[in-house]
Amino acid sequence: MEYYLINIICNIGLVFSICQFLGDSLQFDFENKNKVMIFSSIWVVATFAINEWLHIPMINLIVNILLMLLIASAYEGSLIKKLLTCIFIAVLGATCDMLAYVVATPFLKEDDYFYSVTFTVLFLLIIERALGVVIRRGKTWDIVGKEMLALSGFPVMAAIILYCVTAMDSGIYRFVACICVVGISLLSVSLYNSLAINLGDRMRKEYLEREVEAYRHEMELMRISNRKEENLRHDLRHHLFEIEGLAKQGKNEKVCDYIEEMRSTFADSKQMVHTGEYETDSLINYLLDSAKNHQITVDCDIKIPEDIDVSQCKLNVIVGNLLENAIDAAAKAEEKKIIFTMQFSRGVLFLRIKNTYGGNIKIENGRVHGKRSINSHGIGLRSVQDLISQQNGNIDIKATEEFFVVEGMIPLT
Amino acid sequence: MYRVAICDDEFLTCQEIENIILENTDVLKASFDIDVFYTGEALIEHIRCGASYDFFILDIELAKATGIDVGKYLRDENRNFHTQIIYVSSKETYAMKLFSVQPLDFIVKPVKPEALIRAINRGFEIIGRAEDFFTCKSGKENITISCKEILYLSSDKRVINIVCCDETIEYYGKLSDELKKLPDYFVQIHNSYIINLNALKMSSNDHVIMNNDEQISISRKYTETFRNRMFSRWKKINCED
Repeated sequence: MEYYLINIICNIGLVFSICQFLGDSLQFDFENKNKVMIFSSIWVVATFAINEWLHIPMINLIVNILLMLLIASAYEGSLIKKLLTCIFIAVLGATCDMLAYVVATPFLKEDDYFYSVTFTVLFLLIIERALGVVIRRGKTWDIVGKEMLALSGFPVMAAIILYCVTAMDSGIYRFVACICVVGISLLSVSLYNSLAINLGDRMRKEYLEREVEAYRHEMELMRISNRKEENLRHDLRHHLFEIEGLAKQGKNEKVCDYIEEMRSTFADSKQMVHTGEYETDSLINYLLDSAKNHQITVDCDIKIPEDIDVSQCKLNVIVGNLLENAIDAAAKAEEKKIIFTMQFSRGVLFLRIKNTYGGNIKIENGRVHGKRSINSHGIGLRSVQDLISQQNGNIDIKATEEFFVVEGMIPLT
Repeated sequence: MYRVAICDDEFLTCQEIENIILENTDVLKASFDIDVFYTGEALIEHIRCGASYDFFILDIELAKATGIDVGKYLRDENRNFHTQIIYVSSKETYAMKLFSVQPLDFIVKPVKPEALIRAINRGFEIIGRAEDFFTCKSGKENITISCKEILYLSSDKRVINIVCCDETIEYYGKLSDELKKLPDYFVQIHNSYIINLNALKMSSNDHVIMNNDEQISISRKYTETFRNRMFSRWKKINCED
């Protein structure tokens, strides 16, 4: 009974690490969550049954790879990539099996060798964590990544020490081992703390960098605008002379065309928003310019007072993140479009960002599930939800077949 | 028939706005009676003589009495909160004081038909295509009041007060029963108060200020309902696609 129980639990652990590996190299679509659950259950039962029935390592390996391919079919990616990933996991699993056998043999009786599979699961999970940190951070081995890995290593160290404790006879060694476990736990707490601080610092740095870039962009817009104004002033006499000539000839339509041409030359297509609130203008113009670079059509309707205090409602953090997410999603859509509305009314700030998107999005309890790449920018939609709630505001998120819509209200008084 | 006052010192702009409205009566599904004024003083004088409008389309920068002055006169002295003000301006920035007169919208010159049509349609959502009425029995008399006149309803034990812009009606009843008879822009914010969201001047987390400058507390029990209703009303007016 104990044998079956340990094997089934370990198989569940193995299938969990397989899914983690697949998620690292392929794209997971939330719509296929149930498929993954069903295929994983089949993997757990079938690999166990085949192993018990045949006891032939080569057949076990082939069945293992085929069933992993079945799970991988619920992920997005080319067949070759899926096959290579499955073979990689199988080879890694076999290596971990051997390693686990070597590590466990001195401590186990011959009848208890099946316990070594627990080490296989442990090794696989550690390797996945390490690889995952590297892959998810775009192969940048930054400070947070290192700390995450170190943090993942603590439970392993604690488990090894505990394992040694059970094998020791002398009370003093057990006592020392227990002290070590306490030390490791304390270390993990302090490491977690510095991890959180680092993450906060990194987010602040990213935000400041974006703000500086937005200011630089706004300065550039102002420079262009000034130059256009100077040119217009310089050529004003010439333009008036031209218009007067056309008017004298009774060419009214041409007069209108001429004026329209002057207007469009003067209007700065890059400066879409001009509320007078400098911080908001610079951020939104910068982001909308980036949207245009992605060939996204942007429709803006912003009516806020120029003397509004945006810092009190963390407006720029909220708008910045929502717009970044919208640009990221709309860039992947066939018809690239963003409609952005922001209004101040009766002491309340209302905003709405509506964008097209590519792929599938599912919303459950206000949380958005989709491909990993969606909502990967900035501090994310979840944090925007938290920020708005902290200020006693409301936020609504919905998705139709065509559009993803975020609507929010923030009381400002 | 909706009454519209256009006020701009530029003759051509007035003509352009008037043409847009008259050429789009089919799209707006309404008919309009339009008066044009070239100074703020002329419009203020006309209101002083008793004229009433559903929409004001005002230039912000007028020679003497500006668009803000006209808006302030309408709201503060004429106590008219029903008229929807649409500001037109060459500028794209708006001072906070402009928002104190509760404008419906701001349109940048030259006025584009779609922007004006969208603003007027939003106005229709607020003032309603058909007038809503509320009926109650005060003594032996049945009283019918236009809902746009009501600022709020308050109750003290069994006595209900309907507070309007220029009168207060008292009768016996139960506030929860009255709420069922009112349109969806009325919301309960306290055990003793139901307010008209259209008559709201300012709102914060724990209180609201009505158009007559009265302050009413929002009890914790109704905070969420109030916020949700404010939010859904804004969405209804601004986001119906």
